[in-house]
Amino acid sequence: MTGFHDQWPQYEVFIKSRNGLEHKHFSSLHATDGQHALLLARDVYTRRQEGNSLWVVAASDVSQNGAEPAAGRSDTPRQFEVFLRLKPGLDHKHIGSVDACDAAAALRSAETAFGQYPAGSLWVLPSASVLTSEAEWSGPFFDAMADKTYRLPTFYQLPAAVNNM
Amino acid sequence: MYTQALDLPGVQATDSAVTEAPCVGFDEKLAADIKIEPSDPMPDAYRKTLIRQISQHAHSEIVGMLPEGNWITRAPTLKRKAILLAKVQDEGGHGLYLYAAAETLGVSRDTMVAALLDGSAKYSSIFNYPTLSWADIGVIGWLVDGAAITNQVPLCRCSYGPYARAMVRVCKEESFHQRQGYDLLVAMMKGSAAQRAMVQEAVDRWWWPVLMMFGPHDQDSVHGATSMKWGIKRFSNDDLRQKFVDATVPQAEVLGVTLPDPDLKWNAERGHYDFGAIDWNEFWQVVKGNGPCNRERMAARIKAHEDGAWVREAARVHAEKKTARQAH
Repeated sequence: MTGFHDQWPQYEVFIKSRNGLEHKHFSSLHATDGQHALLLARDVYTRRQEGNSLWVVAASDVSQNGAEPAAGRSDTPRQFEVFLRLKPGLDHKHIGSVDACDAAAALRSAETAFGQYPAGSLWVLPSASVLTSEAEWSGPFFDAMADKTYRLPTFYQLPAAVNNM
Repeated sequence: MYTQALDLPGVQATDSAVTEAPCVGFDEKLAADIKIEPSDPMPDAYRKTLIRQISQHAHSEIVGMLPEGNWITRAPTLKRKAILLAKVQDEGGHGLYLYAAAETLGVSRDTMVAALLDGSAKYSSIFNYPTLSWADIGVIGWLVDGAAITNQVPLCRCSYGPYARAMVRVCKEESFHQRQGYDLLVAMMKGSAAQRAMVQEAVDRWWWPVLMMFGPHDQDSVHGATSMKWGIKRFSNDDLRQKFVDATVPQAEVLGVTLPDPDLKWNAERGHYDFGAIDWNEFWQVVKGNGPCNRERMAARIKAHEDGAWVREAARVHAEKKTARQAH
């Protein structure tokens, strides 16, 4: 049997909901590159207009406090996006950005800038490695989901005795 | 949809591994109902149990696309076709949410897919039954997805964060699945005598396999106790099965179909419906690969995977070429 071990690289997916203020980590997927990851993220994670803005980033670019940081160092500081999970059970939420020469320094700067949360978890990732849906698409990218009301449970009016199904 | 395969034999029982060295903070978090996250220390057996359960759950979603996909081209109206397409797409999506959750435990997607295709990983036995008529599509939504919801709602409170979060998303979408199925059956029951007979015949075929979805009786369940202790499982197989039967009987009455069990009756003393004995011989036969469609389902998955190999390869090479061009 062929083709078992040919998975594409992994990308982390962040979504801003329609009424949300910030991008939240949703989950991950496999794609050939960032463009592909954006298209797949829309179809996998926003089939019911769960969001109106997507960010994707290669999983290998994400560094977490307490773990081995991603490689890569620049001579001049570059921008890192910072995500915080306040406590276990929640998603990582975007809280801002810091400038640093590498991921380890970015994590330290993030703790200084946004505070330390003993039960929390911090992620940093280079801003330049983030691909966003805004860059190329705005409304039309998500609009196709709007007229598929049959995807919602409220589309079906069942007999009164069982309508709480 | 959902797998009952969590309790199947043929995989290493986890109870023995509970004696391994304790993980810092793990028991305290479980006791305090604090979620375990990917970077937290966790017992090896907990990790393995989750990988098995989540990946088999994912496989069930993927294989579960096959019986319903069988009817997409033959849906009776454009409306029903659009609904069925959306539902089958959801099942694929659920599989992907779950594979992603399993990957946070350190297992690769390739490894999981390989285990499905070489037969070493299981998927829910319910998908080894055929979809013989259009009424099956309604009955799958009503009963199979109804059973799945009963099983899955407690998993939203599972102790492992990524699994719990994936299940919240899955459960939000399952309600549509069950309701479209019942709605389809209501429409058929308003039709001709032949259409009503078709619904009854489908209910007769699916009822017992659906009750088997909840897995073996509690006293025969291999992993039940450990999974309960770890907060992966919140209710026993028999409790969930009873809950499903109690919820479904009134729905059958409203629909106007008879559930094929002469022993099914209300027990005022227990406050539950009593029901007849399940044919566990049939269940184990299907689990062991001898169900009506086991070979067909596996053959379809393997063919899809092999036929898609050149697409995965071409897309990867294209992306590499694009990156190389940008580098120049």
